[in-house]
Amino acid sequence: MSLILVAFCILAPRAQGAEALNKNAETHVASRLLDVTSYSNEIDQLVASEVKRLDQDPRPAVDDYTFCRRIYIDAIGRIPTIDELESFVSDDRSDKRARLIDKLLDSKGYDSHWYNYWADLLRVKDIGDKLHHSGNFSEWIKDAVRTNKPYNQMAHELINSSGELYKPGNGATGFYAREPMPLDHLANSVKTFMGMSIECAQCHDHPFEDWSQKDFYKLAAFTSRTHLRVDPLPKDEREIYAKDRRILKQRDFDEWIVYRESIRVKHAAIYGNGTGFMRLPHDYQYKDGKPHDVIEANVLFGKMPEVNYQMTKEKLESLPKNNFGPAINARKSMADWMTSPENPLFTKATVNRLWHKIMGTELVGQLGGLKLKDTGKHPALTRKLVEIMKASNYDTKVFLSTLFNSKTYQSKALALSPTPPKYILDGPVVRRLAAEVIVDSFLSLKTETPDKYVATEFRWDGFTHFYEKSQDMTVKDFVDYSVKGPGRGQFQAREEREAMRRNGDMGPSNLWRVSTFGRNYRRHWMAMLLGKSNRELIDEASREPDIPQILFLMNGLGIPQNALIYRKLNATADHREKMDILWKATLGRLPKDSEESLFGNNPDDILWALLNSNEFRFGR
Amino acid sequence: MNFDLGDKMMKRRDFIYRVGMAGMSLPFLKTNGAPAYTAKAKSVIYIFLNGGLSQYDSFNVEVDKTVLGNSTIIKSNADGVRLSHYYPKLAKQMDKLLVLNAMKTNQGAHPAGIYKMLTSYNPRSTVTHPELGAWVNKCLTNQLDSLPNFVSIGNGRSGSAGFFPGQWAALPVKDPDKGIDFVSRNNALGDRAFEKRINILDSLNQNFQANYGDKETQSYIDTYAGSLKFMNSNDIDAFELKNETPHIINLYANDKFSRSCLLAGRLVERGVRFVKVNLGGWDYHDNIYSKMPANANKLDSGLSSLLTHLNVKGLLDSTLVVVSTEFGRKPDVNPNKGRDHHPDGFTCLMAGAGVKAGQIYGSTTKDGKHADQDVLDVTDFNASIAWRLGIDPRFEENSANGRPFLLANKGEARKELFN
Repeated sequence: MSLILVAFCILAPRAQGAEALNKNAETHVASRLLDVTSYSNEIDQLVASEVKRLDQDPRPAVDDYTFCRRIYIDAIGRIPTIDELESFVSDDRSDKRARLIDKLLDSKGYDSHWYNYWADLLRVKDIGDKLHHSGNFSEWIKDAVRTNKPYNQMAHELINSSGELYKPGNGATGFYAREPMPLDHLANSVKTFMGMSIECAQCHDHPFEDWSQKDFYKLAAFTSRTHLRVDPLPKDEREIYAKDRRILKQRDFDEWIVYRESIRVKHAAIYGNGTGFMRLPHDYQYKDGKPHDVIEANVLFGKMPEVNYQMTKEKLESLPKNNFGPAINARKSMADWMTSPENPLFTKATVNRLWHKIMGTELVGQLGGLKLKDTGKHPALTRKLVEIMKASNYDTKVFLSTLFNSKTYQSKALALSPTPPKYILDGPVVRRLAAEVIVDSFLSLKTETPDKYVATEFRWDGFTHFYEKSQDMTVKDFVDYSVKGPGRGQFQAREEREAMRRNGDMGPSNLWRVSTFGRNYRRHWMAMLLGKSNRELIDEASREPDIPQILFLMNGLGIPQNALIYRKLNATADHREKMDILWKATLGRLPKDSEESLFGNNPDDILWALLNSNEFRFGR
Repeated sequence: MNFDLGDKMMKRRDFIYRVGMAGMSLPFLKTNGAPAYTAKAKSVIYIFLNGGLSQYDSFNVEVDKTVLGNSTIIKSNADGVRLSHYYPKLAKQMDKLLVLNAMKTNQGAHPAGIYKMLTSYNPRSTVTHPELGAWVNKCLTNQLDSLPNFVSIGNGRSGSAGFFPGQWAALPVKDPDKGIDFVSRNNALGDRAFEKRINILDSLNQNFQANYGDKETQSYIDTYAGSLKFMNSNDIDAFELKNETPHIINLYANDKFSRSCLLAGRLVERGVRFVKVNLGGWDYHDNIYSKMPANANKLDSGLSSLLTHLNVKGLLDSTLVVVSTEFGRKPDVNPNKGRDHHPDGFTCLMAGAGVKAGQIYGSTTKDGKHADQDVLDVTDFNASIAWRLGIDPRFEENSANGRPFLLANKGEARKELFN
């Protein structure tokens, strides 16, 4: 990017809103760059000096074709369509890479791709036996991605979420609702936000680390008594619902179920925001405490946040052993500590994950097994990225833009192998694309507008829709709804249909990005087959091949005749042009001389081979 | 595996092998852990009744009359073994079955109960555990096996490898009449055209391998080779029900469950170690007596046919057939004429591989409320299956982050179930 443009932008105000963006694209492109250009340079300088120190050759820069495919994959989660590729390559502006990066970060494709990423990390999932529905957790995450909510704020809101599950805007509660076991949830929160694995200490002193079971319980004290309750509170139940519930149960099972479920949609909520006290487990085996001893909240390291206790430890000790004290929102104190810039792991774990996502390897250490003292193979680079993340106020887009604009990112990808050159955190590595990226890339072959049906606003799901309705429903309305409504089988389906209507045109599902699929619609079997996380665990997605997956790719994958790629092929009679189209549309490059020997084959056979090739499913 | 292939097949193999035999690591061809005991069973057919079988409307009728609801007691061909009238065909096969009437689990909700039954562990959100079938797959697969050793037939939980690598998960067969998904190539495509495609692919991959090849790209090349080998091998025949001899096919009814049992029998005949057959729909919270009979009929008929099939083929001595479910149903019929979940005292079945057939093991209290005598925890149930296959139920593996887990959790083999 030219210096003149940078200078101009220092004076230009940051554009706001879509209209301004269109009117003043130049300004907008430059304004984020203003934040990141110097960051990118600092990274490149650190990397360059490390390369020199270790006496390795700097990696060559990638050409426009390689860059274009790579940035589409990493920024918006699919390969570019042939039109997008050609328009980028033929653009002769000197700052076209920076422009493309900015355009993609502000596109709907970004919303889709990064939703998949956060939904995996946060394990968006049906609640299971109690409600069969994850509330609007998905929607909450999508909203956070769309509005580019600062990551530390996002994490804080998740850890400190409470209240009604289906209330619009309160979807962060899905983070607690997904998990019936509070101690597991705590171990997962630590792993999610601080990259550290402490689950062993849940049941015994950690065998390799410093954490004792008591440390774990001290941390758990911040969150104690947090729980999902699906039914109305006992008083409401007694005074409002109990009588009709009894009558319906005696009369008709299905009506009773509809009554129960519809009341639950209104009342399901996360209760308990942390008492600040915990009790040692019934089988506590160490000398420093007895089973059921009262434990006060404490952090694992760093400064203890303020906790607004309303009961003393001594008082609580005199109470029965199932008493954990009153809720005092101690969870907020834990959220303050966990997401603070002062927390030595929070920011480090975040940049470690994002570097891994973009470059394909860990920057600092194991994604879910970070140690407090880990600094990575290039400590100065780690420090710098942590500093950038903090300076940007946890602005994910600024951080990603910094990486994308760096020469480090825009250099040749390395295949990791035991033979030299050694990988020294100097750029991306070759790796298999995420399942969703592969599936969404098929869309780039099918249509000119693969991101068309990514939602741009909160999409009401059926239960949220019903929650809204239920706010004005009287007891009699609930009974009527159960008796005269659509019946048990149709109860949820009808709400989903109404919610869909409210959402407007969503287009045909064969043109949806994977991110649109979910509980409300259906699981994406193709993405599952290719290794999509089933979101039971953190970092559960698989990039490994297996026979069912390969059988599908060889024998089950079909590109319809009206697909973009066939329309392009049919538009020319020139065989060589057809070959260029095939290679550009799938591999994002022109055929090499060495590949000309393949030109004699039928285009259908070539397309099959290209889509089955390693180059298609690997990022490079 | 059969290497005696025709000329044409050999030619096809030539090009398959060229695709990439270097660093060959077929997913099926890895082995881990040797048998710890003398195996009395070679294979397991594991019929899983998703939803919770009503024990008092099937195989546990040794309770107060009031518990039995609409079920009436009928005699079987085994002395002292009686059952509900919903299972008339199995009544003639009870001499082959051991009835476990005091099963116990600690889970009362479906997902958790199914998870516990199939993995021996309570569900956690910090780790996923392998199903018993995945343990068996990992422990018993050896270099000579060409078929996957864990196959899951029908809908339902598909046979998760938990924290094991994905290669130990079940090969899913959703519909027994369609065989393995996507195993046949596009009909319009002839041998030559397919060969051509593979040649182009081979060339593209070589090109990429030269510049960007690593362990992951190689494992894709290997798995393509393995998949092609699988597609073109005679082993696929194991999944083709139409190739079964008519007198075996005719033993079975035509519904999906019966056809699944037929496939299971066919697979164990070819040495597959663990075949899971799913039959769901048992969750009758209301109107159990109008809804259940159709499903009971499927189980009655499919399982009877399977036992006959294995017997005719001489496979019953080496095949352990088990029928399990995540929990049972309450002794009282609720106001909606259904039965609710009941984890404390439910019923599973075993047959073959030297089980004490024609007997009942364990009992509930007469009011049907609790498991009483010879209580069998689900972890002990799983341990017993592993032990019969010659695998130590205390076989230990570490999860990805180093936590050790035993095959059957704390379960112990109940050796007295077997002769």
